[in-house]
Parts: sequence; C-alpha cells; structure tokens
Amino acid sequence: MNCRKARLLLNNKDAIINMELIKHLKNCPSCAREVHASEILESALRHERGAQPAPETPFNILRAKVDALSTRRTIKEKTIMSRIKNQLARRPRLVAGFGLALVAFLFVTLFPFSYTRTVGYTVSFNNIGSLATQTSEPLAKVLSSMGYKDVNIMITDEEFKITGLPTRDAAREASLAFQKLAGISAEPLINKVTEKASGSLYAQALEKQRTIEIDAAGKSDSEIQAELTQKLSEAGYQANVSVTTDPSGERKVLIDMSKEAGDTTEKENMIINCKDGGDSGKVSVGLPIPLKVETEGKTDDQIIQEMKAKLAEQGITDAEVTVSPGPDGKKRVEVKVQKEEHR
Amino acid sequence: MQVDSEKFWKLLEPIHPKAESFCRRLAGNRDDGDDLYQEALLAALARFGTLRDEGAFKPWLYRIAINTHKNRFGRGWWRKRVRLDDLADELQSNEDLSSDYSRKKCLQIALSALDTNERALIVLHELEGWSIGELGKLYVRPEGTIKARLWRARQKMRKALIPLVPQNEKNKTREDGYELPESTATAE
Repeated sequence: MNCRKARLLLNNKDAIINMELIKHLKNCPSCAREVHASEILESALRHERGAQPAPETPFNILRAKVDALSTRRTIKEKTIMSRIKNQLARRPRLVAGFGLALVAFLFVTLFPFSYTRTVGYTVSFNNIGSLATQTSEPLAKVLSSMGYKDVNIMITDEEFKITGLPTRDAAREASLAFQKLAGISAEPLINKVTEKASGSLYAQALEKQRTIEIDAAGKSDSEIQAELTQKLSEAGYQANVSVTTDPSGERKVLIDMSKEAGDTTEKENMIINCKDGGDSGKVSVGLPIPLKVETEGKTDDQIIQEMKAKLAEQGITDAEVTVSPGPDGKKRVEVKVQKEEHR
Repeated sequence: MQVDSEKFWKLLEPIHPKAESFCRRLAGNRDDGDDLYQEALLAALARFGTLRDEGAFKPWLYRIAINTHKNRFGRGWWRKRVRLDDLADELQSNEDLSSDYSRKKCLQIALSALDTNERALIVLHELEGWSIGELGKLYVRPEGTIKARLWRARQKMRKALIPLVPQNEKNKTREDGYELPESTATAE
C-alpha cells in the first residue's frame, strides 16, 4: 500500500481499516501524523458541538441596534457622494479592481513603449564583379532623374548596394534600372531599414492621426482622388487633389491644401507631393502641424516661449527655437526638432 | 421599494439564536460575529422586498451572511497566513492538545485555513447539523458537489493541524521501529 491509497482509505469514513493499512501507518510517519491530525480535528469538532454557546443577544435589543444602524446609514446616504462612498466602502475589492484597471490604463497610455518603423529600403546585388563599377555613375544619374536624390551607391568586393531609397517601389525601380543598365538578370535583395522609436500608445496614436493613409491597390486615379479629397476635408483641409498615372505605370499624387486658421480669414497654403508607394500600394499623406505665433510687439524670449508652448501641445518637447531678423524686417522663427534614431 | 420590516423581524425571531451563533462561528469570535450578524441583517432588511418565498427565508438570510463575511470580513491569503502563524504560536506553549483550550484553538487554526464558503460549509454541516440536502439548497448545488467541497475543506483543516502533531519518542523512523499512537490501534 502506498501513501495515496492509505489516505484515500483514511478519508473515507465507511472504509474498513485493515492490516495492510495498519502496517503502512506503522512504517510511514507522514501518514501516521495525518491520522493523528485527523483525530485532533474530530476531537475539536466534537468538543465544539457539545460546548455551551455564548448567550444570544436579546431579540428586542438586537432589533433596536439594527434599526438605529439603519437610520444612521440612511442619514449618511442622503447625498449622492456619501451614498457612493458608503457603497464603495462596502465593496473594497471592487474599488481595488477599479484602481488596478486605472493603473493599467495609465501604464499602457503613458509608458514609452518602443516600436519599430520603416525609414527606407536598400537594394543589394551579390557577385556581379566589374559591372558594378561601370554602371554606378549612370545608375546614379538615372535614379536622380527619377527623383531619388538622396540615394547612395556602395560597392565592395562582394556586394553592390543602393541605400537611401524611400519606399519598396523605389527599391524595385532602382533594381530594375540597375539590371537594365548592367544587362543582368541577377535577383536583387531588397531590405527594409528600420529604426526604433519610443512613445506611449497615446503619442503613437497621435502620430498616426497626423497621417492620412488610403489603400490605392486596385483603384483608379479618379477613385483615389475622390477618397483623398474626402479624407482631407474630414481633417479640415480644403484640398485640390490631382492623381495621374504616367505610361510607365508610376502614379503621381499632387495635393494643394489650404486650411482656415482660427477666426482669421488667413489661409495656409501647402503643396505636398507624394508618390504612390509604401507597402501594398498605400498612399500616405503626412499632414503638417500648423503653428502660428504673432511676433509683433513681443520680445524674442516671449516669442520663443510661446512657440515652445505650442510645440509642447503637439507633443514636441525637445525642440530648439531661435528668433532672427528676416529679410523683410519681420522676425523669423526657426524650429529644429531632433529625434534619436536607433537602427 | 417599501420594505415590510415587521414581517422581516417576525420571520427572524424563531431563527435568531441559530443565525447569531452561525455568524459568531463563521467570524471566529463573538465580537466579530455580532458585527457580521448586524451587517447581514441590515443587508437583508434592505433586500427583503426581493424575497419571494417566505419559506426560504432561513437559507436566504444565511446566504446574505456568508456573502457579507466574504465582502467585508473575508481575509486575503496573506492575512490568513499571518493569522494561522499567530494561532499556532499561541498553541505551542501548551502541549496538551486534549485540553478544552487547546481543542478550541486547534479548531480555530483549522477553520482559519479555509475560505469563507468552505468555513460556512463546515460550520453548518459539522457544528450546526445541517444535512447535505439542506446545504445543497443553500448553495443551489448538487449533493455530490457539496460532499466534494466538504471533503476538500476537511483535508485543508487536517493539513493545517499537521504541524501541531507532537513529535514524541514514539514517532520514530523505520529503522528504529515506529509504534502506532494508541487511538489508531484501537480502530482495528
């Protein structure tokens, strides 16, 4: 017999105590102690059953006490706030639950989680030998004419690499251009360049809100034009949107936006050029943050403080603001925002 | 909702001694038990209008008492641990577990290891004499479930008392030869 069987028998009031069990108890101090504990428990329960109970509270006194308590509580709960306070005091676990939920909410919204975002693409070709050196200059000219002015071409013994491409489509175009120039059909390796950024979920949501994104896949130019116009209008911008696709299949989106600035009739004019790019044919439009500070009659320090306050409202706290005289005699306000990039 | 308090007190009067005694045993001592009882009566008085069957007044009141204990007087596991240790410390100075004081303390230690529902089950079944059927109606559970819960509660109580079992000379290792305590031998 093992301990498990022995304990099953001991716990079963109807079980028969046999020699095997007794032999086990002789040899197993642990089970023997449990038997002893069981006897102590039975003895305590028997004693309590037979014990003389404490005298009961006389019924009329009990009734008077409860009625008095009830009246006091009714008076206490006259105002809504005291009612709520009393209800909560009676439910400490509910209050603790709410407190925990609040802490969790604040943590999720304020804690600066890190996230990764794509900042560009690179294209690389391996083992193409002297072709790389010959085609690098013409390739640079072609890419410049396509509008990719910030690209770099790096050549090593083993690899030909193009960096600084803004979108995946740009990477594809660059690799096609190189293949045609070099007369090769080698498969390019397109890699994402990502950077780690950090910000609370609230700040991340704010960042997303400043960008309008639509899925352009399978849509005609007029459909994209209509959708962009509508989304910009919802964001408060009066926009003239023009979407065209050239013979090579490249889609160009031109947006001429203006927005009412507060109560004044002044309008800000912004022209944003963006190309159909990104993953899955999405069109992204980054909305500028409108910031205006009146400079007339104010000192440089006052202008700087006001600008910093407006930037802080937009969640930008590490900006460098300088004031200098402009060419037209008016003061010129320059804002520099630096972000740490982790790649 | 207008509460007929006269009816409430009329229904309470015959069961008042047992109900009060239950609350005292559930809380573990007289003072806490009286507080619990009064709180439970206040809650029951406020909700008396919702009671449809006056015949079920007794289990309805007991359920309110158990829930009141759980909400206001039920202790977290960390407090339970502290209380168990305190009680066990009180007992160790008195080694004779057959004395009335020791038996009372042992029962307190055993009950302290249980949560509110388990404690209520043990108190009602073992001390107040409720049948499994009555407990089943109180908790609205089948009898099998009640029996299983009682079994688990007793196991917990036993485990809580094991540290108190005296380590006397008779409890020796196998090599030295272990002799059964007298009471177990007579169970044959």
